[in-house]
Amino acid sequence: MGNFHLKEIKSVSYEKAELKKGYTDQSLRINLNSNDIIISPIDEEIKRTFIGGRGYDLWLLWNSVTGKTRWHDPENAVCISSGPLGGTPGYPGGGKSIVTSISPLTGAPIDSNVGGYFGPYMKFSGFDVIQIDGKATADRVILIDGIENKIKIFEAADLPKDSYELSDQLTRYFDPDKPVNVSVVTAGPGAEHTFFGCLNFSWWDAGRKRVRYKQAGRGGIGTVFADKKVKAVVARYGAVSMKSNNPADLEALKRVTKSHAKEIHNLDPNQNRMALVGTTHLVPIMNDHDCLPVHNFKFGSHPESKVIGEEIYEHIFDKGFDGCWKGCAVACAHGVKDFSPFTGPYQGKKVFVDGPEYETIAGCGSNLGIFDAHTILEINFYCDAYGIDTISVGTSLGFVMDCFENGLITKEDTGGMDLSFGNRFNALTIIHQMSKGEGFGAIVGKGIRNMKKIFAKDFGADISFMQDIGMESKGLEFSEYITKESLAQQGGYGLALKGPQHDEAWLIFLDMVHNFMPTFENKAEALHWFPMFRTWFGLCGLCKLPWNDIVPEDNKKTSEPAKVMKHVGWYADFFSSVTGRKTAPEDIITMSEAVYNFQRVFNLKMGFGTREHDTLPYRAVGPVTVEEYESRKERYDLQLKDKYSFDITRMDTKEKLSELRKKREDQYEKLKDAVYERRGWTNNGIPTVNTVKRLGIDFPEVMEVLKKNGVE
Amino acid sequence: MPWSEHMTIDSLLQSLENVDFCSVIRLNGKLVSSPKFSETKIKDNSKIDLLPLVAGG
Ligand code: SF4
Repeated sequence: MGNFHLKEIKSVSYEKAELKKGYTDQSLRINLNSNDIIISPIDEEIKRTFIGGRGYDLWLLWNSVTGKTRWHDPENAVCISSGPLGGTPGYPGGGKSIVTSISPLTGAPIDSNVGGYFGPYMKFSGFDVIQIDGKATADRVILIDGIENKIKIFEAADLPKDSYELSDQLTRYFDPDKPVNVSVVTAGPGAEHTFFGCLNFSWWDAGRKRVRYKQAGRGGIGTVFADKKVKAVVARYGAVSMKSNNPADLEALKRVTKSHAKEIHNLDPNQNRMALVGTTHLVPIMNDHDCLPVHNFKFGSHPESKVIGEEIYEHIFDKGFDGCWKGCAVACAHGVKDFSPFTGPYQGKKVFVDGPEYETIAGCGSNLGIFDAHTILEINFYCDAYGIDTISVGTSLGFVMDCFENGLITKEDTGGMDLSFGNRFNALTIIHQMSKGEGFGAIVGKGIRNMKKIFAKDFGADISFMQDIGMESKGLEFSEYITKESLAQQGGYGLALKGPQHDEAWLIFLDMVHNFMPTFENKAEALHWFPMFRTWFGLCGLCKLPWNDIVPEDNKKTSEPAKVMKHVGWYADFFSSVTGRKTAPEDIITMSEAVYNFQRVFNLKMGFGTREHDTLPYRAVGPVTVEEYESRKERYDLQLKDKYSFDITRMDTKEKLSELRKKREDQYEKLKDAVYERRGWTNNGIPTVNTVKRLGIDFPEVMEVLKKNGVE
Repeated sequence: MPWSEHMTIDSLLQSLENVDFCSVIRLNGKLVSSPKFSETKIKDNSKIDLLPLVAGG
């Protein structure tokens, strides 16, 4: 045990709210300016409209900030919640936490869905949601103790700096006899010095007798947390059972849980084998379909990718149960034990690495030209320990390497480092620099949108070229899929509320491989249904993976296999059985629509949320450079000839590039028109008055924001 | 399913129903994606699993 010091500066005893049908109907607010601990009821209208999870987070955040609030202002809040279904042991993916804040990268609300036990433990301790606002003057640790019924704020000194040690030591400190009772949320030193700090959410791995963690990665919520000087938020709670949520119909809950868990148990071994390989199977699949980002999303495949996919990691992953929620049959949260880093503060020591998942392999591996499973593990380990998002790190470093290879930045600008693709040592050096806010790493840690400005201003780099190759939209770095050949997925990224993260819609195969949505209307329909359905997981405290990563054997015979309607039906039953609110599959979409549209209006409140903000860098849409065009010449030539009726015989590659670009950009604008119409938005991408009224989110403050933006 | 000498993944799938969504299979445990279906020969006694529609992250 380390020699840290925790001095209690506030302690409040409370009477634990009784769980009723998945809800405590209470929120907890910690104000760090005053150390106030405020417990408030959540009223019925808010519950009906916002459901829970991300919905509750957004409602509290909306009320905490004004349109002028910036990420480092004290009134910005970090909100964390479970959801009415969260904390159901044995239901696959049944225990996620959802985190929101105003993002340092985007300036707008960001949300992240994460594993670990925190959300359920907090709920069973008496709170559906926690809001942390204000700013402390010295380091703080917050404890929600659902066993002793106490909330405490500690002043902290001499804590371990990184999340790896900190999660472990606080877990053992707060319940040395039963560490399984503790879940810890921590940031890390990288979160203090970058704009893409993540939060690590822990759980106790009883089999391995060690702390594990998952990351709320996107958008820099860890940066906000660190800026408030919160070192950790700890939840402590005892045994959890199916009765913990006090469900409306326990027998129905048991039935649906058993059906879903049994199906996954039976079918996963013959489908994606996620219990063995996690999401690493996606590496060879994306590579073979030209969708794996290589060299800053320039290319979609690479022959060496075979050494960073499932065939390698299957043998490296430590064997054992790897559910990031209790009893999750998918059990895909794998890790590597006794890993020995070759750089940094843990050099030569043996550590446990949580991961890697597909996104980390693609972002910090192939996208950087690093085809080495060991280096990817090391990047994964340090990003988590430092508390920085592997997706933003990978995509930002890819941009930097591309700028370096194109001569936009030189060794003079990078502190003497050669940042060509494949330079794994210097990639790691940058990551270590980010943890201290030093050197060139301090610039990279500001994210692509800021780097573009800095490179142009300080190094004279070509801004329009950087605009094309900088893989960010709304200020958030892209997650790791090539979208050039899928217009629908361009919309999946460009029209996503928080920026280009694939959790709203992943339509590449439906669109590109199968051509199942040939018209704009088909694409718009998909860009309505999928984002709405996927939003619902975040409202309820669930993981999306068990929905469509393992599917029923007869799914292919159904009319819309991509929706996996048998599972959608199970989710409706799950919701009915816990909450007692009789729910059909179509009700799920309406529930999500209310929160989804509210978040769009929230973007508007913060000065974004219109058509001009739904733009993409051209590299997400088509080939930027001659080299890129030539690499897929046959495909692009054919499109120009057949689809757009060009006579290309006298056109050189530059002309072809330019004509293709006009066509593709035009298609994307047409897609926006179709999607806005389908979602009930104006042509400028703003929800109409009818839409907000239909969804019951026509609160006076919502109407005021619409009015200010010319929608009445 | 009876095996024939020049059988490929592609020819096998053409003889099956409801495989429109199949873009990835496992051939004796190894992943094979649709761009390689026509060039991938199947040996006798092979085990093939059709993977569900790729769902992404
Ligand atoms: S499916 Fe994987 S990520 Fe989701 S809850 Fe289960 S173990 Fe965690």
